[in-house]
Amino acid sequence: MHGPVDIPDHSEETAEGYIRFSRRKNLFLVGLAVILVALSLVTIRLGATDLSLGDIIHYIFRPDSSWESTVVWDLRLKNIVAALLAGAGLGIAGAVMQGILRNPLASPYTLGISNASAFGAAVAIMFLGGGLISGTTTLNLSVDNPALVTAVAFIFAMIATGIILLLVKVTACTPETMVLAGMAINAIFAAGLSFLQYIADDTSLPAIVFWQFGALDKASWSNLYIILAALALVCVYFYYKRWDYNSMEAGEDVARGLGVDIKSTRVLGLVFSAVITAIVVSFMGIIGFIGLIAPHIVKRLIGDDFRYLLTGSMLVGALVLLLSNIVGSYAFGMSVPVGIITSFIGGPVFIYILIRGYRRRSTV
Amino acid sequence: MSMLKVDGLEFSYGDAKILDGISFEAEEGHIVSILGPNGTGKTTMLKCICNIHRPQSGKVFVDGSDVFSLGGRELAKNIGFVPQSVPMSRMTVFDSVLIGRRPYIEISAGKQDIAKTAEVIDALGMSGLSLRYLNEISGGEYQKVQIARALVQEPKVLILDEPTNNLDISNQHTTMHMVENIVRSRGMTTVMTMHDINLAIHYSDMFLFLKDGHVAAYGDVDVITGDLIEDVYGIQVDVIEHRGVPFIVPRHSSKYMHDPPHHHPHDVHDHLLHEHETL
Repeated sequence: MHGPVDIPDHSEETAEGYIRFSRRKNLFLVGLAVILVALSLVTIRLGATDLSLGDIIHYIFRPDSSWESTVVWDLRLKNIVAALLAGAGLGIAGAVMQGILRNPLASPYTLGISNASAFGAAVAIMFLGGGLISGTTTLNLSVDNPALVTAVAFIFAMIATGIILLLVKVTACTPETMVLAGMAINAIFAAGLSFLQYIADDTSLPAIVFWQFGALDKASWSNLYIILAALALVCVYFYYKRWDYNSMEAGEDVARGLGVDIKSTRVLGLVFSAVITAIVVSFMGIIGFIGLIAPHIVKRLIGDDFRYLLTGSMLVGALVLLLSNIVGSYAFGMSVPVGIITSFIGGPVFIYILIRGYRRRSTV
Repeated sequence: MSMLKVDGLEFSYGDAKILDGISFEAEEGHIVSILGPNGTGKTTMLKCICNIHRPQSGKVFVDGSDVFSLGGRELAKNIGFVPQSVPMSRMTVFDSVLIGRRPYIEISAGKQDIAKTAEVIDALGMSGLSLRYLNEISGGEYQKVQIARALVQEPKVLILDEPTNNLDISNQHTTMHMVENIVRSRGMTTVMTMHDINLAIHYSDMFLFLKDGHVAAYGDVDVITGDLIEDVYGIQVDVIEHRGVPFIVPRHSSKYMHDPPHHHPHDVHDHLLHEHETL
């Protein structure tokens, strides 16, 4: 293999320049990780119980039965880990969905998967006996049978994904049909949820409403282990497929020409994204827009390359969720569920992307 | 020996037959232009050759192996395809070209993949742009990126769907000149669709004219005659010679209708011209 002879060879410089450029992207990811660790350290000190960083580190490595130890492990550390895992999971799911559907508006939330699980939870609370509420104040509210509610929520998330896939199969596999199908599913489950709330009795209604608000402290440590295991498995698959996702950035024909099996890549990518979303939503409720915002922030900063986008989306997803949690916990004088905060941030971002997307399309 | 052999391709969308028994062969290092009016199945034919569309019958062989029986990666090592339009993404020029190494990448892009990508980018004169994002470069440069991606794939057969679409005359020739340079030095057989017959004549060894889904003519430059163009496109032309190269000139254009007819070397008789508006 040899290049044309009449052109001077700068290719080594070009290659070296590229390697330096790639190093900068890696450095950017390391920088994000450092910020995330720093923010976690700041977050772990926030709270009513006054603890120094030294105390906190002590209790992390030597937990005992004291109140302080419980605060560190079961309130603060657990919430931080929940934010990191949920943010990372929703972030990477959004990045993959946007890539395989070639649609900047795709995310677990916009495809209706989150609402489907909320509907599932409501069904479980009302009809399957998951609905008795233990606790008397709203702060203390919890669903009586969380395992059942979570399982049914998860099943409905997978049903929504199945419906999207089925619709796509019937109408041929275009990204537009998938997103439109997601919107339709969103509408149906949102209506179903409203109906259930309307007919719910006094005990079920608060449980349903409570379940919908995405909050980090709902997840127990054992829930978090499940999320971690699922995230790890899904990540292995996503990283393995990153070159296929990159190929799809150049359009279906190019990807096919490069040997990518478009259909299976799309279906499996969607199913795995839905699995991680369903697990997160089932344990923590609806946390909207993280999957939409995180990949967009990363793309703006370091581009669409999935080799960096996957990691970047996880880090930024975790960062946004951790920050939203701080805002929700301390900005209003009372603890506001993090799902409400992310929706406040996400809505305007969604509109921004919509306007920008149209502008870009009209100029190309 | 022929590098590419297309044998009896038939393709229909539902009841509509698009390709009807397409057969031709192309030799190693040759550039073949596919010509014909809009909607005659040129792009469909290219996609059938790449196995993006699976034809109802017929076979395609590259270097003796049956394309339809190859797996995705193997196929990509044999045939590189550049579609007519490629969606914009926020990737750098280098990354976008590097994707072409996908059939060779097992886990991550190695030194060799990066070196080969740099080599092609350099050969296309885009070293200075390699770290720019695609939405920050011109249309001509964008088109070169698409071609570069197929070149780093190192296929035996390169398929280009209207590679000069949307390019100005200078970019048309620089792009085609570079493509010609590289495919000839690397011995890649190239099949491309073209709208501009004169541009095709400049850069091709063989010409395949498609009409209503079948081959109207296939051969070297001698195959191009006024009669063939009229048969395929339904328009009357003169084939004149310009610096030893045939040049196609339409006989009428409304702008010069009232001017006295020009006498070209090949156009000794002034016919009463009939309009065949089939386009």
